[in-house]
Amino acid sequence: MISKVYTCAVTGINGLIIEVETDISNGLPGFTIVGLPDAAIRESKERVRTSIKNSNYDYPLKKITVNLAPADIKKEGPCYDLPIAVSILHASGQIISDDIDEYLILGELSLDGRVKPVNGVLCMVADGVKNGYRKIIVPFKNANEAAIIKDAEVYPVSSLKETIDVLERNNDIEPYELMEDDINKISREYDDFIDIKGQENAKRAFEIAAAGGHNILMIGPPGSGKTMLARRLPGILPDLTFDEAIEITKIYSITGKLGMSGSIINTRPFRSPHHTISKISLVGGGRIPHPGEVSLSHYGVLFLDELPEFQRDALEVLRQPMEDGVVSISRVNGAVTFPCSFMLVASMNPCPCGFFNDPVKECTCTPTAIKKYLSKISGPLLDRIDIHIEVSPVKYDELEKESKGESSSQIKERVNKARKLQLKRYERSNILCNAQLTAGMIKKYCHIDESGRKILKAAFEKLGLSARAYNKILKISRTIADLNGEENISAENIGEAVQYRSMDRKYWER
Amino acid sequence: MDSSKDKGDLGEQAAVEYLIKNGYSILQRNFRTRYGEIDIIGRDEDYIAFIEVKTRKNNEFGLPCEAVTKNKQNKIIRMAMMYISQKRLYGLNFRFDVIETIISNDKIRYLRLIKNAFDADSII
Repeated sequence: MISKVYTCAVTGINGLIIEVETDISNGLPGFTIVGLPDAAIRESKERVRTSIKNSNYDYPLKKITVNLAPADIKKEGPCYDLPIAVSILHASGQIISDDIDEYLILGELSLDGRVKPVNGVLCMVADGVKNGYRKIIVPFKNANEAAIIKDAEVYPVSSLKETIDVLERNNDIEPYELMEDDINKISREYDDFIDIKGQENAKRAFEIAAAGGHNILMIGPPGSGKTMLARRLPGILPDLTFDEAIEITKIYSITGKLGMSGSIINTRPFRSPHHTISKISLVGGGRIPHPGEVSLSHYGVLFLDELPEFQRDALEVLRQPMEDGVVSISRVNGAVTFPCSFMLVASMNPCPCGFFNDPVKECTCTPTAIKKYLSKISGPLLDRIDIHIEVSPVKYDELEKESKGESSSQIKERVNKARKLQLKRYERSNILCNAQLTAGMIKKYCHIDESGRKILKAAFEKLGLSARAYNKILKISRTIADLNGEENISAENIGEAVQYRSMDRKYWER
Repeated sequence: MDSSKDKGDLGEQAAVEYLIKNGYSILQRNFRTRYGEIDIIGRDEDYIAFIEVKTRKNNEFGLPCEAVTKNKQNKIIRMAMMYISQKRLYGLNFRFDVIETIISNDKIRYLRLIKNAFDADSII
């Protein structure tokens, strides 16, 4: 008899329905798995065989053929153990179930028949439900993750025997209900801007960055507080929507970073990789495609501290994902895409010793050394960072001051208002914030009046700004106007925006 | 001194008696092919079993069944396929059993039947 049982594979963050077909016939005894299984699945045979025996079922001494369809997609990972075992038991008549083909069955098996958790369950359940499979059997430790999907009927199991009980309805098992308290929301407390003394210019720049989704680069000597500022950015970004949280959770699910009973990640990720990171770890890839740091900061912040210290090719491969918001990893059999809509925050010293242009300390670098250092950041990369600010060390008087600055929640309120304006304005286009404006859209949405044009012209001539800077200044002034709740961009807005692009000349002479 | 051939024959004889006692019916002994021979082919209820008999005089070099190496297994599988094809036995159930015995001084010290000792995966 042939048995068909259904399970799920994950490509990127999408789940794909896989059919596990088992045929048991007379002939020389053997167990073959076909359908492009990888090494982990070929090892399944041993786990499946022993689990069946140790669960007190009969392992058929016949010719067992298991096919994982569709046959042209590579199957990877140990999550097929359970569906294969179930399929064999069903084909040999040891499981009686007339709706076995309505279930999705996921799980790895250990030798004694226990079901172990797998990665990517959230992606599998989400797409499984979309494809019409509402009844899903998952490993016990993945239950909280699976149950987040509202329409799914989740049956958590901890052994092969329990799985059979569910399929045969032996104990009238109810689907798993996720209680409010159980939803293990993985929240992080973000550091608060109230901790930062002084640095009003920098705080303002971060507020603008948050409001418009602009990438930001900080240049300053060591110890001026660049890292402190960066860490506080996620705390002033708007709250995640449910769909955004699910997308982030899917990415963490497939990398196994969700933790034992985690269900949903509902705060924006903050990733700060060390500058020795390889380009594959940064952007994604590997023999079995894995998401990189850019995807792990999806809908969050990627902080690259000491930007010039990063490998050149690592920085080069950043450009496309920053532009597209997705990473596409090509393999011979097709491409795998991971989303990566992140905000980039970068920091750097102005020169190798760190004190170029410092008001107090002497810079000990030669002009060539400075030029070489700064040229590690390519033009095209700079092009994708809208806001540049200088961060100088805080003066002693400021450090001593008792009076506190604004808290993150106060700043966040203004950011939220500005974001709402943008959502409304771009309702019919397919962007969400000012940072995403293309050159064509800038003309439409960033209209400036005569006085504004005058200021812009003066700035260009006096400061020697480049064409690159022109569009950036318009975008930033659009955000500044939004922060004021104004539809029209005033000359003052432009004046302020110019500050954030005036360093091109000073540091890069462009 | 017992010669190896005598010991082997003794072992096979003991195996045959044991199998009959345990409900097998013997279909063929020493099925010869160009790869070698299958010691015993027997029928156990629904299964046709291809049985390899291994006789040793002691355990010094390991259990006798350990002498049924991957290579040997492959040979037996190939021979089994020939038998099946010759006798046109497609569609029946098959199994590979091993009987190991230890014989010294013409006496059987130990005999064990291992049913389904290996399967035909290695061939594929």
